[in-house]
Amino acid sequence: MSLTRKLSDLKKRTKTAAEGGGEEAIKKQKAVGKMTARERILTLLDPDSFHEYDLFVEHAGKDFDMDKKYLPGDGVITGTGTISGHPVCVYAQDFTVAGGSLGWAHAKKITKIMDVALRLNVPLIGINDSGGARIQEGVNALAGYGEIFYRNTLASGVIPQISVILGPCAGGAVYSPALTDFVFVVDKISKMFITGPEVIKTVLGEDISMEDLGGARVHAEITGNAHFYAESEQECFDQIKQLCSYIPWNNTNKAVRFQSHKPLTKKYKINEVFPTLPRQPYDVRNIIRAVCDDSEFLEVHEKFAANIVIGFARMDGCTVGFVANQPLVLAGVLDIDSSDKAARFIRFCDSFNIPLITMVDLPGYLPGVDQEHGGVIRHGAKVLYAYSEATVPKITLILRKAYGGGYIAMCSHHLRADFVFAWPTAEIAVMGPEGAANIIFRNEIKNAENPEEVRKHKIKEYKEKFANPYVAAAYGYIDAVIDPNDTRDMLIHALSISADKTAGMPKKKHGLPPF
Amino acid sequence: MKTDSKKTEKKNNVKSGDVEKTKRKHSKKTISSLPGFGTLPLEGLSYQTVLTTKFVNREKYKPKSNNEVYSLIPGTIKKILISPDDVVKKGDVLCILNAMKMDNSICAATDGIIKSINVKIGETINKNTLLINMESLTEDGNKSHDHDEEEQLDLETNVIF
Repeated sequence: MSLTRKLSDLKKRTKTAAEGGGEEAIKKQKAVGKMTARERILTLLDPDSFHEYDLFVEHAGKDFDMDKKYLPGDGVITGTGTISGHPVCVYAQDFTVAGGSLGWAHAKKITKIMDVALRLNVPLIGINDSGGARIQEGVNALAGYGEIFYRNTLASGVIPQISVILGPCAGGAVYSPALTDFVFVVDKISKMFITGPEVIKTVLGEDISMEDLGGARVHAEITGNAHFYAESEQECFDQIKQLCSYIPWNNTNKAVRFQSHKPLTKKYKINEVFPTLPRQPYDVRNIIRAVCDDSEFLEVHEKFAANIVIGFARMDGCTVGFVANQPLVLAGVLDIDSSDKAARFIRFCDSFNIPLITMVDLPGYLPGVDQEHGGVIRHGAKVLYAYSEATVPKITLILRKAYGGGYIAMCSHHLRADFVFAWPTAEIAVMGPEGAANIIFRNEIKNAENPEEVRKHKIKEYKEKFANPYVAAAYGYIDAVIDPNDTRDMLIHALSISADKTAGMPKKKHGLPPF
Repeated sequence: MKTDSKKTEKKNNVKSGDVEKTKRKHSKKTISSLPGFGTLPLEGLSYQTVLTTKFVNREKYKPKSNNEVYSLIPGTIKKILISPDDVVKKGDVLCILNAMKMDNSICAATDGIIKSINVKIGETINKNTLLINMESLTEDGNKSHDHDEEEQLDLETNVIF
């Protein structure tokens, strides 16, 4: 055979394998508003950067006449490429081939590209669109999932792992995304659940749609399983590209430094955004935008547990992770969900050398039987654990209220913040003036002729004495009380001076965070 | 559930629009017009803030008594081993609930008399369904979950966060 014929043979083989499930199946995929697996990869990666591997892998099913079937690429596309010049390993399940079902060879392709990602220290992006395990392959399909989960865990904290849910992801399959760092969902397309509507119908006789059970909105708002929510696949890919610009390739690198840009101070003025009365609400994201580069803030978990805000921004060109209480929602209290949300983000930043800036304005923890019985103690402890354990530069800014356990939890000096600053409006106290006065002066108030007047007087007295940053500053728990207008300069200085920070934990196999 | 999520959807659509407005004006008035805006009382102070749907819909606590037998898992009633007015002992099997491919024995939590049986054989039931009402013959049936006599925290000596 001449080279020309060999080449045309290669072309023919490539074409057949790359066609996926064929016209009919592709039509079906498009009809529900979904791109094909190949289109997705090509849209996400830089033009001409995608290089595919294992195109000619064939499935391993022997039973139930599976050996007579040809499944192109065994329903998954794997390869390497770049996103804005960043190298990435990527795989995309192809729903048009046997419903993207996971068989032994399919899993083998995924685990192979995962091994490459780990060996080469580059991020891994997985696009999930699969009906689940290929039942005909029995335990081999289960083995495949297990191998993927194991590698997700190995890679955790070494390379960033991103899961994109662009179709069904049901049953055991959901645990791969759950083990990764960021999960992206798209409205009406993503569906995630352990047991689907059919099982629920059989067991309970209850009718619930896939969308209401495990649609994109549910995971973005209620469960917190998804970190980013988009209206369309295109928007989703733009979000991924944006996220990739903020994070480093692996845990030995820092994120790429950008040119420094001033915030849009005409649009975001601290003086206008910030109310000084402790009970008045405001949007803390506007404070972040008032101090960060270009006022650009990429919020993570925007709709889930909105009483705490987390996300990435740049200060003087360098990526920073922001954690801020949100007085706009539930007065900015810490509760089960917000603790989970913050703790995981803190650990991500610590794993990938991203400094943390914490903005504090919280009245404390959310009271309630549901919270206590839901385990707010062990969930709340995660925040303390994550902050204490984090060895990246940690800068804390107390804006207004920092009461009680919340003050300690929000990266106080006691949890080894490198710098703690406070605005003059800060109130650092064991609890709010109203509550404190009621307890300390309980008898005086009770025995007074005019209890209400005495209560008011005592609250005022307590406020004047303790509702300020100077008591804490006198003990050195606050490093500096600063003019809000100097915030950006102070933060940038603190970050640049702690850029080479080295801190370690005692030698151990691993700690025991309150999972 | 369906109506709930629709509500949420509507709420959020309006909310994001309003947040945009807030960004522009930063006035207190716009913030207080956000859907779900209300007050949250904490330690003697009422905070003005947005109350999330999850918070508003949180399950209110209901104390449970040993006289009421609830299902802890969804399933199908396979057998009922008692009838009204039967006297049972603590630990006696009252009925068999087939759930998760297992026959689960539902036992009496206290000695007592069966008052009513609220399910039939073959019935599919959800979690937390009231299966059987009993009348306890011992103190613990009525008292074990009684909150009236619970010790009050002495706030003078116990300073809490």
